[in-house]
Amino acid sequence: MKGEGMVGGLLCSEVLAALSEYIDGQLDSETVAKVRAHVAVCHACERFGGSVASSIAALRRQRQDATTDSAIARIRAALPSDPSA
Amino acid sequence: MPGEGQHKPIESTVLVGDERSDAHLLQRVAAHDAAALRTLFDRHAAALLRYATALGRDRSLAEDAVQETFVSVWQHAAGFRAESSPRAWLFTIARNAVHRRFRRKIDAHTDVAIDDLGVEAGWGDPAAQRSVLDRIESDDAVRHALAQLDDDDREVLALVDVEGLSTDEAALSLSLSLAALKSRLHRARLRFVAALRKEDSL
Repeated sequence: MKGEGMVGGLLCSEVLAALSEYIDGQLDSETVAKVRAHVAVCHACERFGGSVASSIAALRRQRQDATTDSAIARIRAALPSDPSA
Repeated sequence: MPGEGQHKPIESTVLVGDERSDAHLLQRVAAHDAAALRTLFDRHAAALLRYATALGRDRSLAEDAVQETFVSVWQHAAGFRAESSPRAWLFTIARNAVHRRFRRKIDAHTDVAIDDLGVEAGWGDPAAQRSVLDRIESDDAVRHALAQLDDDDREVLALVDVEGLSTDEAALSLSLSLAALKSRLHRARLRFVAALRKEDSL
């Protein structure tokens, strides 16, 4: 990427490639340490990681969708209720 | 950076107290226990409806798909393999029910390089990142950005980031290897951020 640098033993493109797994806590501890060392110095990656993590958190908010309640009640009323259904 | 570590707890399907595990409920449904079916429904129907709506973008057809999902569970619970994830199985059935109702857009997007997706999502552009952080405050903007994505991207985000399935469960549900699932998830997240960024310029 234009303007990227090698910091903490990782290139920005390597941090970018590992970003989802980093946010999800799925990287091994050695790679986590490298990513942390990188973002401690590289503001482009630090800011970008923050905006991706915040965007993922915003997706989780979509679970609070109260408009499903009446639909759920309708579907529930039509559930099979006996072995012959 | 924020969000490091486990942002989504792995939700165990084995619950404490008098709650039955999903796998146990499925065994009872297989024996045509209607109460067990309702317990399973109460536990998962809202998530499945959101997922079906996200996939198909039509609430009433999504309702039909969820209804069909539980009829299918009623009829085929005996076919559930105990070693699998009940939740992944339910999402798979719902996904198939949705796909029978909606013709999928042919997925023509090629594998764009991650670097390019990162730049599109605003890497190295502080103004773009501020825009994204502004937009995510609005649920409408988040929904709109999701709606701009293609089916594969929306699907994986709906499963993992909205409904909180683990990457293992999502891989099972979508019949993907874990590596393929993670790759798809990462790309989908970057395209979602890029869509948020573009929202700002509308």
